[in-house]
Amino acid sequence: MRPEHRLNPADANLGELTDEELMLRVQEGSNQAFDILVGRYKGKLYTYIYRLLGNEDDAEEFAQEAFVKAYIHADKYRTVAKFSTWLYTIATNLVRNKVRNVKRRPRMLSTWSDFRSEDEGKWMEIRDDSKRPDDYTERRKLQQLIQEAVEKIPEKYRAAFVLREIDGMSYDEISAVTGLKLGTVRSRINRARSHFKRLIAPVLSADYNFKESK
Amino acid sequence: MRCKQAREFYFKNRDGLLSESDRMKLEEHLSHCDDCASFVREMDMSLGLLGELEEMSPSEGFEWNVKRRILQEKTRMLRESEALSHGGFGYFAKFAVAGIAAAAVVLVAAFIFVKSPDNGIRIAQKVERPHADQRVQSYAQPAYTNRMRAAGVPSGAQPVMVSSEVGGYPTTYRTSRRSYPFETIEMSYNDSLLWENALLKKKVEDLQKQVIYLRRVIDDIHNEQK
Repeated sequence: MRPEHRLNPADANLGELTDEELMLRVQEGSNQAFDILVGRYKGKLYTYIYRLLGNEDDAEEFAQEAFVKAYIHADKYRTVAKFSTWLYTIATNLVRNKVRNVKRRPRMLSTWSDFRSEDEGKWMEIRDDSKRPDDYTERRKLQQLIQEAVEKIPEKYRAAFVLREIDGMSYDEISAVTGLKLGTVRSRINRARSHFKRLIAPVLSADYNFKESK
Repeated sequence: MRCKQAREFYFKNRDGLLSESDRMKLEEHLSHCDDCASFVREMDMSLGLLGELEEMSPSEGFEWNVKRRILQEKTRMLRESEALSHGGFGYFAKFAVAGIAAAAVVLVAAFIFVKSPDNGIRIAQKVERPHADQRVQSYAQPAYTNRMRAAGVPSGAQPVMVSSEVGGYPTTYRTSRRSYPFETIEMSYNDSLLWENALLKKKVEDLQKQVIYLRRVIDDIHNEQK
């Protein structure tokens, strides 16, 4: 008798499982479990990387690569760590390595030019405005200015800052993601906050101009 | 409380890490320090702006691209592992062994010829060593006995086992010429044994010749050393 091809009953309620339980299923060979994890984290991870790099194409590229690495190295995942922490660690390392390589080989024209904060003036800043339509709403304009301020925070402090202030991670989690000691994480976040305050100050005053010119 | 400490307390308070007593101290400082109060207000406003940022969506093909790249990565890893098992370390190891063997041969040859070039030529001349092709030919063409002729085996045919019985003894042999098409002849078990015997005899003779040749070489080396 020909066997029927059915869904594994264990996979029927995969959506109700926690990230860590899903990862155990991935380790057992369930692709469906991994699809659910990708669905859960694609937006968050993409946004996180976009906040760091300020480039949609790079954010998409690195987010995909992070998921690929998570799948390929699924057997190395241990449930003692949160899946989100593990995934963000992979993504952060990818971005860090890329930035490091770009810094070693500075280019005249680079989409990574926003990482110039510590090497201001060395790279030519040519922003890619092709994906930014002119009909931004006021809110979108404000978001863009905030994003630009975030991108101008020194790269050294940026990841910890974004993880804390935007993704709301705990210090312990940030320490795990960045591989830094708790004290270092704390000081970097506070330094980044001060940088951000200084960088966003013109936007705060310009915010009134937005409202007046409306 | 100094302003520097007040700002540290502010950050701790923001992260929910400040004790109640320290929070009271901070509030007390802010109530009379305009600079710190201004700092806290501006910082709250600045960081509050981050709340304006929304979660973004990647492209529609994101998940499909992840799957495609996983497949690519798996394929790449599979190819790499195959390359490693077939030609990786083993491949280089073969070269290493071959290289060592070649180096050993060169060293021995150099030892013989550099030390006594004339004798080296003499050694090469006085021993007749059959060419590899000739040896192969001799294996392929064993002694053609009257018994074989009587059995109808054509001269120059080669035995090829085509079947075997319980016990591993071949019952029939298919003989074939080197050229196509093959000519097949059924042989009795006894004839096949004779055929094999003739082949083995040829091989033994050839090996004996090689042993004699090598003994001579070794003797010459010993003589040179003396």
